[in-house]
Amino acid sequence: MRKRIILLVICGGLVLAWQGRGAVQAQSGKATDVAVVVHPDTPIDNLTLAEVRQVFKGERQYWNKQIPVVLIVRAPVAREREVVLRTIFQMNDAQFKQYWVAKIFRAETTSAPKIVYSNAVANQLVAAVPGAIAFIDAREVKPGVKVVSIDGMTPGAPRYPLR
Amino acid sequence: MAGLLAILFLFGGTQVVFMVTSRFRSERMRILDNALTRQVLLASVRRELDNLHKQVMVTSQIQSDDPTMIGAPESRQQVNQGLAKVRQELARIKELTEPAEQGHVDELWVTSSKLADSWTTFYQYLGKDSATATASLITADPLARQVLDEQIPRLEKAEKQRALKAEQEFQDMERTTEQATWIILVATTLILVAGHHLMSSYLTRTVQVLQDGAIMIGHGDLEHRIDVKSKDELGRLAQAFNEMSENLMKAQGNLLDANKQLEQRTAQIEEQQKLSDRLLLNILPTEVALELQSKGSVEPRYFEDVTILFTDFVGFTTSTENLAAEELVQVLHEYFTTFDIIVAKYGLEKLKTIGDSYMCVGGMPARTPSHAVDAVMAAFEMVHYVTERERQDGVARWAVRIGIHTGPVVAGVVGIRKFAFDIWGDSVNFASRMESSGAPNRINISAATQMRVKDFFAHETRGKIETKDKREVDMFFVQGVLPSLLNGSKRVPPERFEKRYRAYFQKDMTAFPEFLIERSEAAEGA
Repeated sequence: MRKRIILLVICGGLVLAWQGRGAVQAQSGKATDVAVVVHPDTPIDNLTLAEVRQVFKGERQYWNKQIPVVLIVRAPVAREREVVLRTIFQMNDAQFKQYWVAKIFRAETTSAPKIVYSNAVANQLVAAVPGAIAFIDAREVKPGVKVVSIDGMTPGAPRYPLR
Repeated sequence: MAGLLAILFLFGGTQVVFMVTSRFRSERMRILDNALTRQVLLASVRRELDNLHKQVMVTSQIQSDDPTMIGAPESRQQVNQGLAKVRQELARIKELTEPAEQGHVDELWVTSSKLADSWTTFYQYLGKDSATATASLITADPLARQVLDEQIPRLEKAEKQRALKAEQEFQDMERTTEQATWIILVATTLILVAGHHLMSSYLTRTVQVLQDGAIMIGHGDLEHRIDVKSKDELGRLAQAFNEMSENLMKAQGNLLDANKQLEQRTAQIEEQQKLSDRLLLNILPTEVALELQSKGSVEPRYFEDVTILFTDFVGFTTSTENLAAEELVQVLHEYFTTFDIIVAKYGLEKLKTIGDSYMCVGGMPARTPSHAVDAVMAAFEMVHYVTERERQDGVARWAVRIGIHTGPVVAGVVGIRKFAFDIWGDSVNFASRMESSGAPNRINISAATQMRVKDFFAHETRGKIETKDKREVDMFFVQGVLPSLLNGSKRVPPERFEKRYRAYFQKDMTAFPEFLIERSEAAEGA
C-alpha cells in the first residue's frame, strides 16, 4: 500500500514536472527550442533525429564529397549543450567527452567537435565555415545560417524534439 | 691463340658487365635507400602529426575542464617539439628528394606549416580567446585531413612505388647480370671445351705424325720427312726432326764414305801388314817373329839339340869372274830359292846366306826330334837339285858342299836395324867346319849327326879329318837310305823308313826325296 502511494506520488510529480515544462514551453514557445543550423551551402535541409545523432556522434563526417561536417558544440553548462546531450547523445557531459576522446584515440574521426562559448560565436562560425553545424538557441539564430528541420519540424513546431 | 683471346674477351666482357651493372645497382640501391628513408621519415611525420592532431583534438574536448592546465607551458613545449621534429623530418625528406619530385613534398611542407601554425595559434589562444582558438582548430581540421589523408599517403604511395621500382630495377639488373654471367660462363665453357678438343686433336694428330716420323727415321729411313707445316713449337720440332734426318743422312753418307775409305785403308794396312809379316816371317822364324811383334824384342834362347846345315857352292868364285853380276845374282837367286823351298819342306829354318853359302837349322825354334834326319833329307835334295841343274842348263857348273852338325846353340835376334835371327855357339862353327871339310855334292856330317841319323841313312866313315882350326874330328859322308829300310821298296817314302821315322819321332814325315831311293840303291850297288 505504501509502495503504491509512493509510486503515485512519483508519477504525479513527473506529470506535474512535465506539465510544468510544457507550461514553461508553452509560455516560452519558440525561444526554448534549440535550432540546428548549418552553413548555407550545406546540402541538407532536413535531418531526422537519428541523422542528427549520427552527425554529432561523428558517424557521418561528410555532407557530400567536398563538404566535411564541422561540428560546433557549446561548452559545458550551456543549455543548448545540455539539450543536445540529453536528446541526441543521451549522455552526460563526462560521457560525451569520454566518447569523443575514445573516438579520437581509436582514430575513428579526423575531426572533433569545436567548443564554442556563445551562440554568437557559433553563429559566426556556422556562417563562415562550410559544412559547419551547430546547436543554437532558436531565438539567437542570426542571418547567414540555415536552420535545418528535424524530422520535418522546425523550431517552434509543437512536437519539435530539441527543446 | 684465338681461343685464348676469346676467353680473355669474355672475361673482359664479364668485368665490363659487372662494372656497368655495379654502377646501376649502386644507383638503384641509393634510390631504394632514399625511398626507404623517406618512407620512414614520412611514417614518422605521419605518426607525429597524427599524435599532435589527436592531442589537439583531445585538448579541444577537455579544454573546458581547466584551460590553463591544458594550455600549460609543458603542453605547448611538447607540441612545439613535435612540430619542430616534423619540420626537421620534412626538411630531411626534401634533401633526399630529387628536384624533379619535390612538388608534392613542397605541398606537404606548405600545408604542414599552415597546420602547425593553426595548432600553435590554438595553443596560444587556448584559455584566452576561445573563438580564436576554435577558429584555428576549424582551420586546422581540413589542413590536417589534407596532410594526413591526402598528401602524406600520396607521398607514401609514391615512395613505395619508387622503392618498388628501384627494387625491381635492382632485381632486374641482378637477373640480367646473372644471365649475362651465365651466358659468358657457358660461352667460356664451350670455347674451352671446343678449344681443348681442337688443341687436343691438333696436338694428338701432330704428335702422332712426329712419332711416326721419328719411328721411320729411327728405323733408318733417313729420307723420310715429317710433314708438319705449322709455325708453332710443333712445327719447329718437326723441322728440327727433318733437319736431324737430313744431317743424319749426310752423316751416314759421310760415315759410309769414311767406312769405305777405312775399309780400303784397312785392306791396305792389312795387305801391308801381311806383307810386313811375310817379310818378317821371311826373315825370322814364326815364333820369333811373333815374339818380336808382341814384345818388341826377342830373348835369346838356348837350344840344346839342333842340327845346323851349311852349304857352299864350289866354283862360285870362278863364276863371279865369268858371269855378269846380275846373271850371277840371278843364278844364286834360283839356287837359294830352291834351297828355301827344300828347307821349308823339311821343316828346317833358313837362317842366312853369306855370299854363296847357305845356312839353315833344324830343331828350332820349334823343337823337333827329327831335325837331324830332316836336315839330311834336305841336304840330299839340295845336292840333287844342284847336280840336276848343273846338268840342265850348263850355265853355272857349280857343285855344292854340305856340312851338317848337331849340337847346342843359343838363338836370338840382335840389333835393331836389319836384324836377323841367328844362332851362336861352337856347334855353328863345327857345322861350318863340316861344310868346309866336305866334298862337292857330298853331305859331310859330324859324329854327333851321324849318331842321330845312322838308323836311317847309310854313311861312309871318313875318319878323323883336320879342320881349319886344326882339330881332327870324325866326319862321315851320308850316302843314302839304309838298305834295310829300302828292302827293295819303290814306295815313296819307303815303308820301313817311314815306319822307323814314325816310331822314333812320333810323327809323320812331311816329305821324302823320292830320288833318294834310286840313289840309295845305286850307292848300295856301288
